[in-house]
Amino acid sequence: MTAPASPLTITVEQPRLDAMAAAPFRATLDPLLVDQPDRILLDLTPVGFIDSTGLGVLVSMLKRMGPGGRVAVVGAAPGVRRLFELTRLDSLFRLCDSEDEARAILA
Amino acid sequence: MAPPSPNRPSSRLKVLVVDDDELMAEVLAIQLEGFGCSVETACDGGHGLARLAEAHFDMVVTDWQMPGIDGMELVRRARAARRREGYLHILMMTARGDAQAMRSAVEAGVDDFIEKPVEAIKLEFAVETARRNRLLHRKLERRNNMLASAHQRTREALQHVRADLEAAHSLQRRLLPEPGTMGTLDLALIYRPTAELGGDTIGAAPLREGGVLLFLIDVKGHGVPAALDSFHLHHRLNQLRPKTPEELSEALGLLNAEVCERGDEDYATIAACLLLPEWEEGWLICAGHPPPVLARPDRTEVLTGGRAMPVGWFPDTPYEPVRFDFPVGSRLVLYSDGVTESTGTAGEEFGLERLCTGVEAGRALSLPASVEAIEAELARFCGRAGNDDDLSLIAIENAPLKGPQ
Repeated sequence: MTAPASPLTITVEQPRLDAMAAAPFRATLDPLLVDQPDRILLDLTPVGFIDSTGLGVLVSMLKRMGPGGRVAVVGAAPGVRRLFELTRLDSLFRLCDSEDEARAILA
Repeated sequence: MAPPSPNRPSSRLKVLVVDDDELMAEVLAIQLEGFGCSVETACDGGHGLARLAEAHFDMVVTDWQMPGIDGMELVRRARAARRREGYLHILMMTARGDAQAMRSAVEAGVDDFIEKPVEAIKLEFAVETARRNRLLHRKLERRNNMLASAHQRTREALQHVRADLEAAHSLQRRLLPEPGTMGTLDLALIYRPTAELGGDTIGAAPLREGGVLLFLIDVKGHGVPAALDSFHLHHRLNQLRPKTPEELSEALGLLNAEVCERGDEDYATIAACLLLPEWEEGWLICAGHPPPVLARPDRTEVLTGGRAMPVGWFPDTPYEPVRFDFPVGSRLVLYSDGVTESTGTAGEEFGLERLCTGVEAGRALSLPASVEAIEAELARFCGRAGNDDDLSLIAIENAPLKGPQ
């Protein structure tokens, strides 16, 4: 048996993931999603704000993962966390308090 | 075969020679014709000015000392008269190099000087300079004309776009419910898109037995694309016009499937309610939308039930409505996140708590006055920072029966 590979880690560098930042972020994602990863550790630590367009990019990232793809999020600011809860996206993106917790969930 | 003539009409300079010495004028004319110019002569300043007024010339070669109107005066008057016309190159003949007099001549509008007796080579250089300047002037003039016409076309296009936007804006406004009474329900609203067109829309459609289908849709993004989508979803939901909780669930499921089918990143958050005053109840689905505020006679609360994902994300999303009491005297407030996420001058958000406080405080006021108070509070809160998201809010009241008892 082989040990499962570690999840793909994606860090969103933009402090505001909004309509302006969505296009460059999408371009960063494209090559990473070619192989349809099944697990992603999404680091939102630098992000203070996500608008509707930014959220749309994250949803489309989830759709482009392999079947049964799982995402764990670390570093979600309170406003970002609220947005995930409001849209029920927290049922698909597991919001974690630490990277260890995220890695354990994705293991 | 003859070489191309340098005297083509377009390149041939039209020159006026002004000199009271007729012989000198004739000699100059012959020389200038030799350089490919078309030449006329005038015997003094007065005749020179008269010809300049009658015909177009590219160049004037004038003597300085002349009886009556001298060279300087001729230049001044010619420049004053031709300020808005095409290019005119003025060459002045001088007997000696008097620096002060030459400076005055330049100020009057002389382009170049040539000493007497005139050397052919210097005259040829002066003609070439005039020819080049005229060419540059014509190019510049053509470029200016092209720019002016491009500018005009852009202005016209902009006017069309503005007119289209205004028409669309007016259509979008007409979709909104009329403030006032619908059956036994009263309603009042705020609708302030950031741009000419917004991605928010509000609908209120009457149902049988005094019921109302109430919804607030917030389409992803802003501007024209979001507005077009909001038009579509508004019409679609109105067309489906669910009357029961089951139909409400089906309608949202159908909208979700339709938006998902497009396969792009578009989506919308929707708060949709069935209000049934006869039963003093309401049913709510909150598809990714901020939770409505309900002010009942006994308490004000946030309706956190009926939550689902926005429409357009995942095709299998279930949309289950939740029931809530809506007794007479209750007010329900639906709003877009633009309201609660409005930021104040210190960068803090308006927030749900302030909105609840506003709704609660508004209970002492009429419904329109309470909505106006919330709008005023929002404006005060945002101050000069303004707002960068569409602002939409609708308040609806299960009004006590009015009229004679």
